[in-house]
Amino acid sequence: MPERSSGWWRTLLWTGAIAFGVWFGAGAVGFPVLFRWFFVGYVLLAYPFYLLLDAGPGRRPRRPLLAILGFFLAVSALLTAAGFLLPQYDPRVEQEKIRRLQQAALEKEEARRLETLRQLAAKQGLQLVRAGETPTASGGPGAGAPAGLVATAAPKPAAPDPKLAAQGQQVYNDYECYNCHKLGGKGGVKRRGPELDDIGSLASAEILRAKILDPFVFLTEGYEEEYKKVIMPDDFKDRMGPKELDALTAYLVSLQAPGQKTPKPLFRGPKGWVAIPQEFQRAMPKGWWTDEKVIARGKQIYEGAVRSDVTCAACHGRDGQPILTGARDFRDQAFVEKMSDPYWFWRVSEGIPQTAMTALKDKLSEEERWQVIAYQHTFSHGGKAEEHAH
Amino acid sequence: MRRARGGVGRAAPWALGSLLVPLVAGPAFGAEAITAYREVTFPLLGNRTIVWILAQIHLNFAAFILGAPIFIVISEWIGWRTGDGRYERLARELTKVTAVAYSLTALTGGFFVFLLVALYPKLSAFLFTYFAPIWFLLYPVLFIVESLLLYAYWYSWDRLMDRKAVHLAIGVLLNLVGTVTMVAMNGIASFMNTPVKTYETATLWQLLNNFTWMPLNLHRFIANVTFGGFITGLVAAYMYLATRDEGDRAFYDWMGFVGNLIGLVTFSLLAFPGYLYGIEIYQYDASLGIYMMSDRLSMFFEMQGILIGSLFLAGNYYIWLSMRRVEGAERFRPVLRASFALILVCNAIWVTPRHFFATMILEPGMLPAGMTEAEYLARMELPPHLGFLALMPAKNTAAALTIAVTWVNYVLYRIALRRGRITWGTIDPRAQYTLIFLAFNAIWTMGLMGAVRELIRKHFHVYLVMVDQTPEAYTPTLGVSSVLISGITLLFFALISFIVWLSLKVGKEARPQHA
Repeated sequence: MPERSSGWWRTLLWTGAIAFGVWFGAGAVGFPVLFRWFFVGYVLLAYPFYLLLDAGPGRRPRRPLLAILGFFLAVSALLTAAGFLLPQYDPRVEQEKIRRLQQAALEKEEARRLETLRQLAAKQGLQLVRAGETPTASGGPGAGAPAGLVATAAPKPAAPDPKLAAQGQQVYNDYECYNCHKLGGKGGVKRRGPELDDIGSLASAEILRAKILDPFVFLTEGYEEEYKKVIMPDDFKDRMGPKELDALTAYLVSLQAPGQKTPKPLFRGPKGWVAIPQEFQRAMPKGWWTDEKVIARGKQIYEGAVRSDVTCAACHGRDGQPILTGARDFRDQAFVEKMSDPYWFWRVSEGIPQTAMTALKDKLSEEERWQVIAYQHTFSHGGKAEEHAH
Repeated sequence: MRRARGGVGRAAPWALGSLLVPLVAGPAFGAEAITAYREVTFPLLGNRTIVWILAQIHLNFAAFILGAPIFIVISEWIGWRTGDGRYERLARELTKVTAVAYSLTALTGGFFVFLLVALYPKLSAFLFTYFAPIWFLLYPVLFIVESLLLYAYWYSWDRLMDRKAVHLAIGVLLNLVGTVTMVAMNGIASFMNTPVKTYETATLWQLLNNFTWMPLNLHRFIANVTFGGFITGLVAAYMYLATRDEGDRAFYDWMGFVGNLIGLVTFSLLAFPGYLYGIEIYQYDASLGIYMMSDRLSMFFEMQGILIGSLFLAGNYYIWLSMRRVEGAERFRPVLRASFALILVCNAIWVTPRHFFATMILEPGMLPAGMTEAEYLARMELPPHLGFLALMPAKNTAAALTIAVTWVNYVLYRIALRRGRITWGTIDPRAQYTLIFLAFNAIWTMGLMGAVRELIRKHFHVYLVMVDQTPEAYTPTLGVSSVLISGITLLFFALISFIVWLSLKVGKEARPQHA
């Protein structure tokens, strides 16, 4: 086969012309300058390869061992250099992140142990207090009220603490939420999770906190497939410490940019997924579904013993079997289980337009509304208290 | 660690009785767990680096001794059926190399395990207890059986010359046992990345049958054959360059061609299980996949693109050089020249990154002084309308085209061979350097992707189950990793070169003196 070893200048001309074309072509379609250089560099690298194609036959090495050794070293040096030439990062950033995550894990473990101790102490009728604190006279905060009524009532939404929100941004980055969510157009390329630019205007702090711990708390509009596939990690409850959770929630609440594309959270209702006003996006206080005192209080409200103008039993029946046509049958377990906490709270608070179900938010306190919801829930479980499962 | 079953406190004597205990008692045997260990630091290199080196060297040997016998048996079979003595010789010479490499596989494996136990006692205890039946029974038994079969296969070659079917059956059995051994150990390796979430109560089968077990099995099985093919090319290149005998030169020229063919063909297939492996990682936990493809390991994949691109270029260059000594093949020359351009274009698409920084988002210290984030991103990142170039459909198209071009070139080569005449032993010596480069590249790529597979777990020994609490829990940069991978590749090359010299060159020179 004839060799064309004298055609190096022709190859060079071709290479130059192609490099020239690539530079301007890439610029015309909008590649940034760095990418244009990258492509041109690639074309230039092709030049020695094409020279090699056209080169005449090589010689057998006189000292094969030395030739091979030299070749190994040259290839090693080239590959190692390529490794260094590609963009690097500062490992100290990740080391610091790991330190924070491990610290959070320690705090979480400590909180878990403390909670166990508290429960053990409570069983013995003892009270756990911090060193230097004085025990309350009648057995701790909230004593005297129905169990959990004071301590576990959901806090009202408040403006997020900017310092806490800033810490939350760090948590957002540490847990790599940006992998799936976009903020300001930045974040995961592939569609996995919704944009969060205005999430603080659309979702309550309480429900955002709940969503971090349990991806099923709500569905985001337009993300039905991702919800079904459980793309949102379900292990933050195991990995995230309480401080991190508070900070991340504060950060999410601080994300308020009206006008920016942010899909709405949707909650389970009787006819599918519904949007619920932010102020009613609440969850039953922990333990109340099965708290006997709460349920007893709810019964009183339900039957009109607390307020004469609130008598749920008048329409829904004393045993949950509706008396009024169109009233919900609370004994229907399949129906009851469909409903999310925010849906119950919203309907009890705001009523249902154009029906006999009136708004009770001006007549009952938040606690009372949750108490009556906890009570009516027992109808669907044969009069027994049960955790509400969706 | 949530809960360790058993512990390292118990002695583990290698007696048959002890080996049977796990079967009877399950992983819960042994009562007390040692909670305090003396911390040991490996001098100079540090714990992670020495384990990295040993694990990779062991895996390189393991890949060769598992991959080579697959086509050794096929080669022997072809030789038997066609009567072409070259296939028989190829099988025989490679078996000789494999037999010596086998002992080094065992030695490096043992060294690796000792290091792991001493340097990472909690992790070792966790893995040994959860996978006790594999470590204490299945693996040693399989290893012993495999050793017996390998040496039986090698030493019975002449004796069974007239009973080829029996000899081949031993070879097939050897491959089966080798594959089962690999599959068992892959279960443990894949568990570390994608552990079953209910691992505490899971059965051994559930622990093994995790998300990435089967993709890893498939990927490694094919990759081992690829690796074996390129190492065959390397052996052939060494011998071609070293021999003065014309007949030997013709044989090693042919052997190099076969090695390159096996390597390239199986390497072409490797893209599919690799892709499947990636999908499974995303399915298990998308954050692992994103860490791999878009975050700290993204530049490792840039490097992979460069390596694979140069591997295909080199493989096709070898075909180009091979065709030079085929009479009448000149007419294919323009097609091949154009195909190189296409491979280069495809590779340019493959290595086009989403952005020229090595993390998913900008990190402290990355933004140059006096520049806003938006300005920096406009310079360093693909604009949205060109972002598709960084996504898998574009990369897959480029990869598929590269593979297709390689196949077309090989078909052209076959056509040229059928119509022309080839003189073996006359290939350009550059072809031998190409074979050496291919082997070097394959080993480097294997080292790189092995590092990716390990580093994907971030700061966990077992993802989300056991935290790596050592100061080396972070992901090293590509630059630092490249130094290590180059060092490991050179070390492996030195060892395999020694084995080739010992088994083929010295053996051959020694024989006539004794005759």
